[in-house]
Amino acid sequence: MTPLTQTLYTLAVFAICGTAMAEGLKVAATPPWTMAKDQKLYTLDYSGQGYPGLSCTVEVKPDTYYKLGWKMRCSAPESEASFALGIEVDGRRRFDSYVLTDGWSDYAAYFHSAKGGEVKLRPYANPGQPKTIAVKDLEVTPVTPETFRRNLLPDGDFELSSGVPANWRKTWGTTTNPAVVVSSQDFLSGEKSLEVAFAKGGLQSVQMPVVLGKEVEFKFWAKAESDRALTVSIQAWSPFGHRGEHFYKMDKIKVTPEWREYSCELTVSTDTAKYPDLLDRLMFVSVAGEKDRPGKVRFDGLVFHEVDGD
Amino acid sequence: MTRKLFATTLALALCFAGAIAENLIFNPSFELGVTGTGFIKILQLESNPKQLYEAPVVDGSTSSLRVPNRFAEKCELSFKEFRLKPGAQYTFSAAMRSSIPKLKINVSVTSATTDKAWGWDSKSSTFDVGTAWSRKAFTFKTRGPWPNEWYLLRVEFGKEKDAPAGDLWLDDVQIVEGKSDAYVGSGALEAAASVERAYYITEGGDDVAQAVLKVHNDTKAALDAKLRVTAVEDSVGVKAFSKEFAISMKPGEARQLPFALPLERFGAYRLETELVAGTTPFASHPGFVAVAGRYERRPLDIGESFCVGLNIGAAKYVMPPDQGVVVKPGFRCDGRSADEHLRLLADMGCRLARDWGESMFRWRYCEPKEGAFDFSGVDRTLDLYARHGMSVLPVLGHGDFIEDTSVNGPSWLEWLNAKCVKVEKSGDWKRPVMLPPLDLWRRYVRNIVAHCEGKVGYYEITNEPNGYLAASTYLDYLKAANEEIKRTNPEAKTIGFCSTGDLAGDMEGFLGSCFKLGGLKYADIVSFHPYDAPNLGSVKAADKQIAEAKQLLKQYGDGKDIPLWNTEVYYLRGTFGPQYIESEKHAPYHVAWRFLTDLGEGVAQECFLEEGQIFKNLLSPHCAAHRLSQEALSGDFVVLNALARHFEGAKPVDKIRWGNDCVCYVYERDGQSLAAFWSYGDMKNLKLKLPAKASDVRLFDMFGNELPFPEGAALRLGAEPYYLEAKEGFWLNPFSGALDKKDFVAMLKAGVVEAERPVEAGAEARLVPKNGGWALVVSFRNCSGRDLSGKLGVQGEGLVGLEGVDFVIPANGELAVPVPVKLKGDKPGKVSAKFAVDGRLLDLPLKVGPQAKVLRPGEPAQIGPSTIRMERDGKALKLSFDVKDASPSADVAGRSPWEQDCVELFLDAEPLANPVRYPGAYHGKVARLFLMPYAPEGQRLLVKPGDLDLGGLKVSTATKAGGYTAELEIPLAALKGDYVGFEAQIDDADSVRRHSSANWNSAGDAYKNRHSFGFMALK
Repeated sequence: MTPLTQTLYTLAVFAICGTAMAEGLKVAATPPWTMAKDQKLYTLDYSGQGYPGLSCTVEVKPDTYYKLGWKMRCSAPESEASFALGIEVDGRRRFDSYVLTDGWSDYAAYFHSAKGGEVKLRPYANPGQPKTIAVKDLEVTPVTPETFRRNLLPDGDFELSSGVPANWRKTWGTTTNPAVVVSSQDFLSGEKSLEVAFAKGGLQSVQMPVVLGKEVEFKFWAKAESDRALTVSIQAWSPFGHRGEHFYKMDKIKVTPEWREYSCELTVSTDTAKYPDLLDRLMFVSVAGEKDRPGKVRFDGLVFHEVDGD
Repeated sequence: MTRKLFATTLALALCFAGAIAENLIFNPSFELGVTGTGFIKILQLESNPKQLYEAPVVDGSTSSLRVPNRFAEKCELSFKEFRLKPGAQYTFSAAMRSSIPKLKINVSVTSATTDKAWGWDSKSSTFDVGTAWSRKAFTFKTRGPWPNEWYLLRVEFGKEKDAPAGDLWLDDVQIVEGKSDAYVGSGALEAAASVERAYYITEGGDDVAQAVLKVHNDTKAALDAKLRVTAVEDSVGVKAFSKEFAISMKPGEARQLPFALPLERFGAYRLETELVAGTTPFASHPGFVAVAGRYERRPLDIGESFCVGLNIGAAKYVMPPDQGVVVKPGFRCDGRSADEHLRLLADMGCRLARDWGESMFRWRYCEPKEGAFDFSGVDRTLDLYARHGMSVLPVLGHGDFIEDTSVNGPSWLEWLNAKCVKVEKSGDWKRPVMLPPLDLWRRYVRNIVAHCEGKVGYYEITNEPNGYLAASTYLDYLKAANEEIKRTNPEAKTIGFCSTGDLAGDMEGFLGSCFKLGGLKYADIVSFHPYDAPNLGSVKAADKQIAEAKQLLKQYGDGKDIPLWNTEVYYLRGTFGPQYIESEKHAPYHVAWRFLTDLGEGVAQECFLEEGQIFKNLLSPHCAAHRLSQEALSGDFVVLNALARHFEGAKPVDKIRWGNDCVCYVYERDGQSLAAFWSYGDMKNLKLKLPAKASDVRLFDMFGNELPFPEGAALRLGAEPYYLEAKEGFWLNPFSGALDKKDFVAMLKAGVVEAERPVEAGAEARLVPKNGGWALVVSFRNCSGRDLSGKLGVQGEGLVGLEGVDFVIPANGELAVPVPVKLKGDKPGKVSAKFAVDGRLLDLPLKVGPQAKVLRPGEPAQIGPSTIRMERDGKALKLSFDVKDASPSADVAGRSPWEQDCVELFLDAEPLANPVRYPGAYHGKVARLFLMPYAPEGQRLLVKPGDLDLGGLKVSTATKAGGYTAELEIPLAALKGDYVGFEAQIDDADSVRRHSSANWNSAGDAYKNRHSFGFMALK
């Protein structure tokens, strides 16, 4: 297909199926997805079969970081990540998974493009229970240097979340999602906190952008029913497929019944030969409980950001 | 015996009949001696020229109380307070006899409140008592409803002019519910521990006082019991002594159990007796004893050496009618003779007596008839003071310029009153005054100064004149007095101005006005009464006020170093009760605070306290309006004694603020460095670390007890001051003694006060409109001793904090931070400030007021039946009022603006300001405006702007049937931000005074509390 043909085809699809543009993002909603008129709202009455998705494309600049943000809710909330996002950038594909919630939650996916050009984004449902999924406010925005110094974790105080936290999922080896957003006015501000019932394994965040050579910090407030140990880490593990040595920092902390702030810092290595995962400029954070000691821990005020070293 | 047997038999008979009620009088048959009674006697000069004071004693033969009165003087015997039910019937009864055939006795049962609206509940009866024992009784009904259940019994006689000399015997005193006058006894085991004297002067160590535990089994059965006597320091609560007594007693038996009470530590000790084993009904009364140090009286010039002084009025001269309770003049003895009283004060260390109150220097006593001077009372006073080493400071003119229209009659005597010019509503208090002719005033001053030459060196000219005299009027009298003083005794000093902050007096304003008129030419010393700034933590800080007064002296003093004297401040806490006795209440440390602050701030002399305040009321603590005899000395006595011993003659050297409301004053006395430090705020658990060696300093508590210095450790710092003395050769410097003092100051400056928490929240958080929603302005201070950063949030009932707000606050700094909130109602419940500091979350409770109203452009609002509307254009705000008021206030001349029909407006240009302490107090950017439709044209707007510039205001008013309208235009340039604090009040007056007011947002307290304002949207 020539570029001209491709363009005409795309225009035709948008004309037939309903399209929208947001910050240069082109979204094609093909049935069973529908698009509400005059709204950036897409709805899927999902039978539980197949992989129906939205098709999105965006032109990006080389060596630039981006964030895809959207809001989403579902008629049958789940505790396990069943919604997926396919990202094709620089000719490589990755698949991120998300938990569906019953109230509107803010979702995010970060990516870095080395080469620039077109990036394909495909949010889609995975087979499971029948449900209605609604997506709105899809938006791709560049991640500026200032953004790195703010909080890269979406909804770090969980005030925009309900049910399970939207941008977190259980770590590998964890049997069930241990996290739930609970009502509480116990913390500094807001009405919600994250409660994690640690049994085995833990919780990890979405992938977040990092700049090689820069120091990053993961800090958060936590309190436990009784004194307990947590393992906190910042890791690079390429969502496009792990290569080379595992780059990470892991701290063990003691959480008490009193709210306290904890942090874990690390300077992102520039040795991409040793840690090729870092070529993707993405890292995530995770927390894990004690292996044989179940118990609940509350979290709030989670921040992942670049430490201003200037 | 026969009398008692009869009474007991009758009581038993009635008891079986089921008619016996409880006798509410403690120690009713005086088996415990005079315990639980107080006695005041007014001595007569003619019948008792030697002024012998004879107190009640227990007559050993009958175990009854004998009240001696061989000089026909007024005797007043009070009993320990008791509870009565409102609206209930009670009967007083007592056995009485006299040494003469007919002695008139008055018995009263009284309760008082500090609330003027309630006043008193007093029932009384009079009896003629003969030489034979007889039981007197009267039945009464208490007032109901009545807010104070505590009553006091008084037995008085000898009051009348023609009252005969004659002793009274009293026994089996009783108050019971109902009508019975049959004596039933207390029905309890009664006990009281006491010592022989009200105070002991000791060197500490092994000294002991002989104490006794008196017990009386006033039940009908033999009993075994165990009693415990404890001595607890009354103000700091430290238990100093405890002893148990096992007793076996027959019915009716009384016993005295002596014991030795150690006097190891200075303090004022309450001796409590409690029943620790046994089931019998039990009643007790505390004993009290002050333990003080030996004060060495040295020659002292009160003009040179700072010392302990008091307001005394040594003569305690009472003259009819004195509220109607005095029929014949005399000299009051409150539980001891005048000489004993002065000796007590001298032992304490008092060296200066401001002879005030019941003073013999008053014009009415010195010149009872025109031109005929009588200084016998003055001489008696001077003799008393001289005997006890005190310098006297008379107050010439007293406060007698104020016209007294009460039952007391005119302040001046009739002959003088007739020659006075009356001025209505004079001075800050707008009181009517009687101005005596200046030539007579000169003659009074001249004569008194001449008579007292060699005995009196200082004269204060009138008491608190700013309350009732204009500055220019006062200066006429001051100038005249000063000229007479200097002419008569050039060595004598004139103390002028005596300006007060009491009753909203403008202390600094009066000084400024007088000084501007050249008043400083007529005084050697300036006196003041800092009622509005009594301590460092009061709304107006004491040091700030002194600095302002000193600045005025510098400005107008023509280069002269004019001393400042604090001659009175009875209300030391900075909070005021509904009645003066409530306002006078304080802790002993307040006395130390004021003394040490005055000394440290360079006030040259003080005598701020009233001598009656150093006594403790044990008989009627719940009935504060009663003035009683002065048996027990409070901790004030011990504190003043310690101050006299440690600080008399000291000079100020330096002042250090350690933060967290902690202050340290450094002084020098006879070449020795010393310091005093304390916390004047309300923070708890403060710890002070001083880098001194225990071998170099001596540490004392406020009573003068030496304490081990915690070298390398922290000292718990609270309201009770510590005194620190450098030992001789402090950090010995062989080259210069001066450097020693520098080192002492440097050591103190290196002191660090640590707080329990790094931040403390302010007294009140305030909801303010912000960005279309609401924010809670939380004030807090940094107590950590270092710069701090963190986040502040709020959470609680009725609201949700929407975000944590970043803050940076310097060490010892204070911030007010608005935190966005979501409201879930209009009245938040329990709310906390959440501070994220140093990785921890501190939770501090907040007091939050209700959500206030917001006045928005074009949205009319109601104030009662009246309407307010605000409009805005690009240049100005226009406020329009349509006031419904059918009865206009008539002639308004001379009336305060709020005492006439008017619209009061309150503007706060900085509504987010929220100081940690006194958050609702006015700041400089608050203006109060009065729109007065019935004032003369051109005078219909009155603005009290503070520092708020509201230039360009335009006002118009118009009257109409059934009310008036008013419009005010405020230039927008005068107001900044999105909102200003705003309140409107409609005052409705008749031809005499304001009779009501309606408020838009406040509860009528806007004139003193800017937090009661609502808000006005500017955009």
